[in-house]
Amino acid sequence: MKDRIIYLIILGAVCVIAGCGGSKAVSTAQQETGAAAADSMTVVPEGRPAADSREIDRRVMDLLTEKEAKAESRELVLQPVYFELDESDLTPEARSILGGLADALAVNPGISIMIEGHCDERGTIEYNLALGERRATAVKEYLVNYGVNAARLYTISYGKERPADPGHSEAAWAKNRRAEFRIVGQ
Amino acid sequence: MMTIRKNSVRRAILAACLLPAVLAAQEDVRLRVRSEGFRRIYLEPEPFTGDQRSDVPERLRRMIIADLDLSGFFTIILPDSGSAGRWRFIPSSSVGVKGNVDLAGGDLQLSMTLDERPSGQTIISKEYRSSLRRIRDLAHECADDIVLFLTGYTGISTTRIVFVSEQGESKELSVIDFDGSNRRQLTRNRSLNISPCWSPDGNRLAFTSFFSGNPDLVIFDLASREYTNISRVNELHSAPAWSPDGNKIALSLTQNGNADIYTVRPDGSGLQRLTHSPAIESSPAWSPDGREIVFTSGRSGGPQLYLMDADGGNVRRLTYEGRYNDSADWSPRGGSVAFVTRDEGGFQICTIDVTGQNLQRLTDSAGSNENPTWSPNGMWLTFASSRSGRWDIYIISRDGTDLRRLTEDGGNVSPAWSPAL
Repeated sequence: MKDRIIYLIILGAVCVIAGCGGSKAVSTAQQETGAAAADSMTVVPEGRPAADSREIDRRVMDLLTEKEAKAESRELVLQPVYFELDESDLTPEARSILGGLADALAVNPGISIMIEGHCDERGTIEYNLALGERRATAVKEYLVNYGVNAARLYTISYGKERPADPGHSEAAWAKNRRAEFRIVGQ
Repeated sequence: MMTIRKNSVRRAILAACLLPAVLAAQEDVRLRVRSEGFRRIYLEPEPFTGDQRSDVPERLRRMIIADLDLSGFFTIILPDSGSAGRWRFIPSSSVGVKGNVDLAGGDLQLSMTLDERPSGQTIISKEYRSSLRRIRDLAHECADDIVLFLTGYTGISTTRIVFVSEQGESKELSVIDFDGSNRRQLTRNRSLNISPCWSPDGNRLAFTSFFSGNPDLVIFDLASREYTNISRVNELHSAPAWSPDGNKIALSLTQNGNADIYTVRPDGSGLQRLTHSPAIESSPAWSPDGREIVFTSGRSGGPQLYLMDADGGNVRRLTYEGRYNDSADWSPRGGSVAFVTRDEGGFQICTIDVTGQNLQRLTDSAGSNENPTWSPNGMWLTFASSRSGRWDIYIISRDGTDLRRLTEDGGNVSPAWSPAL
């Protein structure tokens, strides 16, 4: 979310500098976000991930700061995948997105990603944490079956602790039952 | 200096518990028949005598009355409660509470007497002494003594409730006294700290914390305020529950993405796996004798409660009604389990006997009611509710008749009631 905001701010700034009109800025943003096309993923490699995923996660904070600095040159959009209520099975849409992600990972062999499992507020805190882990693991298994090396994939569950949408509607819940991706090492 | 007349105590309890049915018609509207069939004991706290130059006697009396009221055992009858045209209720039997306060020498001395009414016979009397600064502690001690003398239950006046409080993006642990007062924040690591539980001696907390980047099992020492991360694998550690003897912590731990119930020693050693199902297993809670564990499993589809022996054997299903039951906490009195069941709007708090009988629903509110845990004497449950539109901590008596809100500021969830401190 924060990343996206920064991304849009930078995008806006670029448009202002380039002297674009407001309507054009919107259409550019739509193109860029819509282009979840994984083959546009370009990230500068910087060393292999440590074996310890906790160590990696500590590095995430550093990487995030770095990522913000490099946001201008970044073209990568990691699209979340969504789940049905109480389910960790992948929907056809999720499979299609993950297929694209797997292809992108294949052409960017240096990248590792963290898969974050999330849930809507209708489950309990504790059961949701377990469900989020199952969602993240279902995504990981799909990517591994698609040919991605398991060593490049990490999972974490946030249960219902980090909703994408703070609302209490069906629409908000649908947005919150998801797996999100972060680049954690290259 | 304490004198107890056992027969009087017994008579007082009997009188209170077994009020003849003919008196039912005269009941005060506030009096409610409790699910176990016993009635609240009528208490008549008189104005305290002694040093009247200060407000201390009245302050002390009010503190004690507040504690006694919150104990859930009593109907308090105040001398002025029948004024202004309302008829005054005079119970056929009650217990009078008298106090004499002496402030000579700078210390606070209270001599408290309980008497049986109408006979007027003294049941017990006891002396208390403390510095004036600790007047609250003295009130708690006195109130807990009255509860114990008249009911046999340990009081809860010195207990606390730890809970999770939203602080912007992070979730930190805070603690309040059982009546909602004296709030203070415990953790400040700007991470997610969730699902706290108490060690049985009340000196430590176990909870899930993301402060190292992974959902780890962390022990927090309340005196030193030090954290110890006892996790040895980078997996999901959630829903810890400390065993009654203090030697183990049951928790939900994932392996290859699937959560099962494990136990671990509080130093992180001796990890033992108890369940082996491909479904989610979560939220373990110990029986008070430490021999059994109630937990949630999705093995039949949706989450349901199951019982097992503490070594993982003898698994049997406890709940069949409802499609989503979770967050069990075993009553310290042994016979029943509190849990949440999902309905259209969210969750509601229920209790069920460990035999599977006597399912009771304690809440029926808008919003959601989650994470019930018992008071150490088994009379109350604390839980988080969004009934006001925001999440706050509440307590409710075990039969659902008495509800009180302990926090007001919103963003407060996952309360856990301390043992008697």
